Amino acid sequence: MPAQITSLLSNRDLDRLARLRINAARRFTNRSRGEHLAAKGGTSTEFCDFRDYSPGDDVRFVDWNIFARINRPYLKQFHMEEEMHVVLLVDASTSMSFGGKLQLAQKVAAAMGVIALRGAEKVSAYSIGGAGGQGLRPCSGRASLGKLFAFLEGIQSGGDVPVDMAVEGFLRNHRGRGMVVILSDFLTAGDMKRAFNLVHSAGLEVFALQILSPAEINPEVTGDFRLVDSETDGTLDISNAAALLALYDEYRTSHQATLHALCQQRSGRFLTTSAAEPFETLFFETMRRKGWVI
Amino acid sequence: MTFLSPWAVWALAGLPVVIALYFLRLRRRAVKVSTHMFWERAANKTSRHAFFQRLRHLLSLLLHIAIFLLLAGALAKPVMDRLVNDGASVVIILDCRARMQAKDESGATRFERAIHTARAYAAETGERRQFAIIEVDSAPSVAVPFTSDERRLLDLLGEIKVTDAAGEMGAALDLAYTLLEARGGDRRVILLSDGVPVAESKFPLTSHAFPALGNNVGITRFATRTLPANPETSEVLLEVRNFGDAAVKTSVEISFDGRPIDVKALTLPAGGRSFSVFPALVKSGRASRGWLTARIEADDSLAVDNSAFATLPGARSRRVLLVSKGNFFMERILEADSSVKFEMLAPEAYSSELGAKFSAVIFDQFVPDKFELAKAEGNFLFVKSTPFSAGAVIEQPLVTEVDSSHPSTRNVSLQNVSILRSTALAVPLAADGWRFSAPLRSFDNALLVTGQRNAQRLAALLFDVAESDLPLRVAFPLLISNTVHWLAGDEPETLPGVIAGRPVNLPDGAKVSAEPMTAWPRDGSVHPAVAGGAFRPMRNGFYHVEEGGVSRWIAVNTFSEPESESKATSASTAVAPLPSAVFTGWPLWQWLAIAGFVLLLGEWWLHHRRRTE
Repeated sequence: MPAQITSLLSNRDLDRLARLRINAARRFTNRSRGEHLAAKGGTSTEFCDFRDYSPGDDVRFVDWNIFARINRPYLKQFHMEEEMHVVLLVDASTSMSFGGKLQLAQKVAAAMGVIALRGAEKVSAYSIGGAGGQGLRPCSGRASLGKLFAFLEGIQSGGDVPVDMAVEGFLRNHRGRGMVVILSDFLTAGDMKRAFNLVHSAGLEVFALQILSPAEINPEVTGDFRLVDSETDGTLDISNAAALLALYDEYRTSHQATLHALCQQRSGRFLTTSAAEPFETLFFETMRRKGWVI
Repeated sequence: MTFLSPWAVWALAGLPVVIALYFLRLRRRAVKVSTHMFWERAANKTSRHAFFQRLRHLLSLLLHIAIFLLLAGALAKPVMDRLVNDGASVVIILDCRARMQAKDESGATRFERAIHTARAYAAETGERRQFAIIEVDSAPSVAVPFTSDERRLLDLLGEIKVTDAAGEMGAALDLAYTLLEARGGDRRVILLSDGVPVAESKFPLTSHAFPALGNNVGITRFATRTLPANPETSEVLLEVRNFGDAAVKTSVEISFDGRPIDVKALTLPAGGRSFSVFPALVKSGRASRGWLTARIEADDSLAVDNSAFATLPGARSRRVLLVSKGNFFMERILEADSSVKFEMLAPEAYSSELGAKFSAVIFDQFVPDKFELAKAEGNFLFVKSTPFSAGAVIEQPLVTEVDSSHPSTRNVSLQNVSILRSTALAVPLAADGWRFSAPLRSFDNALLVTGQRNAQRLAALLFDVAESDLPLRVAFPLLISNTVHWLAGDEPETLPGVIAGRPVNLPDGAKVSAEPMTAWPRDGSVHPAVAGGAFRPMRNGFYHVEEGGVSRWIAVNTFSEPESESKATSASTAVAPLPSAVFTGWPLWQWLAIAGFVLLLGEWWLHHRRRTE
């Protein structure tokens, strides 16, 4: 039995990932050559369109078969394959330590990173809060898989940095266009609208995956208790929690809808999942169905 | 309403614990969550419902308290009296008289066996069977009214004591019948005694006759009295009876203040009795207690009648003033009485202030000038001349009536006394606080008038003793001595003993010792005194009485031949099974228990639907 390449993904999952590509809706690409099709025309081998010949065009791209049939010169156009910067932003704050949220985020980040590196994209990764390394410098190529895995495996939960503040922080040092995959529970009262605006204006397409634990989706609390915030250690006395469950669900759903709308308005993608959902089901079924990867 | 288990009231002490536990339960458990942003918003929105939340907590607490009170109430087993009327009612008559101290062959007393039997009955107490206990000593009394509380019955049986009193069982049976007549259902009387014959009983009766050895010898009488001829001495009467079927040789020892003063051997035939008189015993001195104790040496079944107690009167000196020109007979009598300090004064030397300085003043054929009964201070004996209005002279009056109950004429025989003449005087009417009587009469005329106003006393002899043959008779010194001592405030010298169980009326403020003393204390200690009033001594011995700063002793004895007769007069009846009560409806405590259970279910239902958490 071959050895595991990483503890985050099984070898079988790695094989399955080889057949997938990130499906960015907007084509924020960089000038560096890559395998990702740029919005503008280019010199790749992938045919894009025909256009009339203009004097000065490179005659090597004239389609001589058409010229022979209709005696008019048409120029063949090809896609521009440019490099896309894929940023993996993993929320490792204390709240992510509940219910296996961080573990699922690490797996998804690893899967996205594998796809990106195998697609000749530039990949960088950051963890929000938490212990271990704070970031993985931009890298590309399959040779960088080991660094990526090592970084992601080393992420540990801790700290109370809000995700909106963390986004602002990483954008100060970031260069390049592409997409950012934000893996977080988004349980923050901060201004996510501002964070998404900054990301969008930086030329990054938002792929936001909200991971919630089952206890956060359907809290199983009754009676009187005292809630202790894992990040701030603030307390909140709750009486008759059963009566508050409906309100809780309403606010959570509303928060989720707000995030979804913010992403959609910026041509981004937003998905909410439970940390209890198996990675395979999430990534190879749900995320494929939602068009995150193809 | 009757509480069958009143001890359950103590369960109410647990109410604060229930409340404390409730509030401890309300202490919130800490739950760590990733964030409480949604909870905070929800809680803020529902904060206006906080008042109703508190009400919900209050409802929960009230439910807990109500459940606890209902269950505690059910534990106390309240029963409506109208329901119990149809229950089984058993009255136990427990004989606590002196006879129950008699021992059987094993050495156990009748009372111990009766208590053991009563405990066995008390163990059969139940909701359907109530017991009442009547204790019988000198009189019956309800020790415990009808109850199903076994603990209460057993507690009482542990506290109840046998007494030295004598009494009648008939009154106890009547009391038991009265108790049972007020109740319905099956009723029964259980008699725990020495075998009392009951000819006819209104209710089914089970009699337990506890046997005892029949070889009892007991003192049935022990009394002292001052010799009239010699007040300085007393004589003692002792009666001992053999209640056994065999002749007994024994001895009796008389002790005075703990020191033996006489021992006498006695031989008593079966059923026989012996009278003994011990004359010329010394009177008790100022420092002595006057304890006189008789003990017989007998190893018999009943020990309580082997000892008897009596007291001797204390010695007191009286100052007597004779105001006379000379009266040979009177002077000789007063000189002979050693209990009297006699002084003589001529009539012209007397002044009214002297009256209060002497215990008694004798005016011989002389009445002081301006003597007014209303203002006079002192105790006076007038001879021939009296302050009363003099009537006609009666020639040769006959003594027709002598009141032997009056202290002045006690033991005085005046038959055939010849009196030359006397002053005619009817018994004066009460006036100025004085009440008069005539213990010595000649038809309608008084020969001796006595009067009393509070502690002040007066006597008037309406004839001249020198004009009669009275000085030549034995009655004369007795009459004068009795009168002088009565004037001086002396009580009758024969001190009647107190019978155990009979009430003794003590004046207000008097204190009497709680327990008797039967043996002479080496350290001179006295049992603690309790308040006086109606005092009913139940044990034989000497009781110390303090009355106005003056101490005296009371001797208490049983002196009852029926109590000393230790042979059973009747056998036990067949022991029948005890009846069971049938309640006419569900007892109240069952309803309380059901209500508590229903509330408990309700609270459980509400709690699990988050209504009362």
